[in-house]
Amino acid sequence: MKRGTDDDALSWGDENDPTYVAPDLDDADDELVPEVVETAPSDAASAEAEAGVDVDAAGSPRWASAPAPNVVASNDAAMAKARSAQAEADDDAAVENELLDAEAAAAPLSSAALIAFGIFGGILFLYTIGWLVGFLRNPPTGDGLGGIVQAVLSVLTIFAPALWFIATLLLGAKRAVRTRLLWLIIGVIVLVPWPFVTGY
Amino acid sequence: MTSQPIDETPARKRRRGRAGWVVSVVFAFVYAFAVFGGLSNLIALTQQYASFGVAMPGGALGALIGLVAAPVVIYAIALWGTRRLDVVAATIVYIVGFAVTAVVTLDLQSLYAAALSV
Repeated sequence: MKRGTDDDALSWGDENDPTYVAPDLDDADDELVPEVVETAPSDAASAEAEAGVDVDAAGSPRWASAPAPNVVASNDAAMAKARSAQAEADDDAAVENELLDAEAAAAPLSSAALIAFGIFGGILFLYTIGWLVGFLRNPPTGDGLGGIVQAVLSVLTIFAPALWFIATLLLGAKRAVRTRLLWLIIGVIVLVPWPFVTGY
Repeated sequence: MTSQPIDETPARKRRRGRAGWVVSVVFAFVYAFAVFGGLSNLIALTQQYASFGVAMPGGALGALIGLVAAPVVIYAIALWGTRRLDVVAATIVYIVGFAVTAVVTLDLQSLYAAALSV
């Protein structure tokens, strides 16, 4: 019988087992069964009696003298392990969500969504023309800081529909098509060129 | 034995950073210009009506008050909406918000003119 096999047979569990004793293959004194190949039966028996079971300094078997597991330490270790496992699970979930978002972003738009975006883009383009006509009808007048503010606001209204459309598509790129359409509807409601419509 | 709950760490949420606050303050001044325009209109026109001893129509007064309130309300919405956005996205939102402020301002000026012509 080979030595390694004997050691395997006389140890159990693994490193996680508190009663586990790691086999020390290098130390011949620690051999549980000495390797006596060519001895008389009586010699072999006495050798076995000599070697006996592996004992420690106190005379008790080694597995019995293994220190009792510290309950507090093991609980803390278990908690730490659970925390690290939870953190790992959280990280995995975050990565999974990012992956799903990326997939959603990379997925091509449906035809209906493209048509809807086109319709709302067209409406907002008409709004741009409406604001431009309003600006040309009533160009900003006035001087001083108030006049500058009025001029800036008047020019900005022309670009407002385009800005809204681009911002919705940019910031909503990772969101659902429904959300983007909702924001475009809000834009169509808010950005109506009332000065052009009412004539005032 | 120290017993700590496993799930004691709050979910990580992105907060507005220092750069985000700088952008918010800068755009606060930009929006303040629109408030200034509305305030100058409100004060000047109210005094003008008072000097003539004529009461301002309700719709016109409401429009003038709206000219002051609209930039504040839109900035508040933008500030709340950008609390978890990065700096670039927040800047885009503030720019679009200021464009909406311009639109609402001209709408209210149109409403003021309509209220006076009735």
